[in-house]
Amino acid sequence: MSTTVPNPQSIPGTNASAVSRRWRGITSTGFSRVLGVATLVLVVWLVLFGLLFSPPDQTQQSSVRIMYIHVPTAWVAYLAFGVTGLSSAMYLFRRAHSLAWDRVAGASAEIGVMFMALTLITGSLWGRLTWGVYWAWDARLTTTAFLFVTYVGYLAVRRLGGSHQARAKRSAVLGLLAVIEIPLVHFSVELWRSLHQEASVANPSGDVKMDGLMLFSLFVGLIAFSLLYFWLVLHRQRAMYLEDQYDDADLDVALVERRAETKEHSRA
Amino acid sequence: MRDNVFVAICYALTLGSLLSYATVLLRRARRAGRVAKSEELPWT
Amino acid sequence: MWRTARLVAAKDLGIEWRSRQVTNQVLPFAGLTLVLFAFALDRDEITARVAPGLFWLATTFSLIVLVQRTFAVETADGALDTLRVAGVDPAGIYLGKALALAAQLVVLEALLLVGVIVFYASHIRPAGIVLVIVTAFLATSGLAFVGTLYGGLAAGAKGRETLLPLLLLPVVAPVLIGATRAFEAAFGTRGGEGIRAGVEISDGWPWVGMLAIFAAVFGAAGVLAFGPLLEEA
Repeated sequence: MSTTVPNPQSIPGTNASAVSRRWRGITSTGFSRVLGVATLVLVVWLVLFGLLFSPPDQTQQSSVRIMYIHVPTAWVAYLAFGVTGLSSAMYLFRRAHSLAWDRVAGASAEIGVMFMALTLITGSLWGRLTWGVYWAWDARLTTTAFLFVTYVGYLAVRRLGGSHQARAKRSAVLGLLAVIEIPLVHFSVELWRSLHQEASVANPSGDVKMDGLMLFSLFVGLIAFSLLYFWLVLHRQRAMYLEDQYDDADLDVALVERRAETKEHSRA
Repeated sequence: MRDNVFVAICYALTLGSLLSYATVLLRRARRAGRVAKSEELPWT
Repeated sequence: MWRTARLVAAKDLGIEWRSRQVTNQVLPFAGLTLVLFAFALDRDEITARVAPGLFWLATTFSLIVLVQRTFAVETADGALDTLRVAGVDPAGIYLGKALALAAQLVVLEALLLVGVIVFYASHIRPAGIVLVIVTAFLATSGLAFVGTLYGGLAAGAKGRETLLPLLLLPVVAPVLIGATRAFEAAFGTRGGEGIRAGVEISDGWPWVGMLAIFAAVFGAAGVLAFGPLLEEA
């Protein structure tokens, strides 16, 4: 049987290069593919080490395995919001006001919000197992929750519409305001809890005795999720570029149609 | 027992949502990229 | 800058004075929230104990309504654009609007304080009066600065009625925490049992410091950021 089986995905009229582009993904490059494969390998490692190879903890038993997911997601979320703040500053204070920085800020915030949601969920499940409660009004937890809500608001502002530059400027200002807001929230919550309550919930990793394999699993998790973050940001900001182009193209088409209409009217 | 269930939920939820986010992202990029000419993209 | 601020503030307060929207709608709204809190919490001893928190919650909710109002006036007939085109200093506009907002908040807080004393049977310790006044002054400045800044950010955008609370409430959380704790110290609530027994007046002053930092930081941020925000609107 040497007859070529028609690709079920191919639509009549698309040529071979379009099909291969569709398969490869328009936002990918050689670098991003290598990065993606490395990420996948490390995520598989994370699952293997986190669930199978690493030993259960003496006090926490197997609930300690949540740590290999929880700590890396938290780290990536903070990293992502840091990148958003930095890119916002780069957009605002560089003379060029390059939209590329704005797209990096937006992509990073979106990914950060997702990782932060995962941090909160996995953290509360872990908290239920080790502390007995899903939530505690600890300074770090409260700040994290505020960070989440703040960046949900940031994403809502990005969707307000207007020109790309208007969006960029508005969200860059908000991105920088978030950077000054978070220390204030943390400071006030810390002051509140320390004034009124005996030592709050212990540092979650403080009571875990880390042996070598546990530390290694955590390390794999951190690397895997960091790589995943870079892969996602790379693709997300390229997708944003395409979406911006698409908007502009739409606008151009609408303008041309409009001009044609008015010409017809004036002729009639 | 409950420990294992919670651990399983955490892993499944995290990896599942990251995977679906990546999938949706690539699909959205493809849809937005229909009008773009691949020679003109800044990263190619 | 200061002259512009004075003029803008006078203009805003003049509009409010003539339309009476604040006195006829926002003040009753704030009073109503106090009554509703009492319904929800049911027991007298609880309301007396949480009165400081309810006071600042009612103020925060009213802040959102007031901010919507103060920017609805500007964007309705493009008044903000006119000011910008006329080359009015944006920092002056910002300070003026914040000043007008603060003045309205002060009136509101004075009436809410009476409401809290009447409805919740709270009483201020004589030694706490200074603390109450300083706290209210700093918290009001902070709220007015933040409210004007985020109001300007959301002004003119579609869906700003629902967006503003989402943006504003997380940011004002430190004011809510700080001002409530300081008022608790001045009111002497939370005495007796529980983990928070025996609040002294001196416990309130660290919070005053925090409120001052908050107001200073956001005041400076607003003066710097309001210009770029207006440019794009």
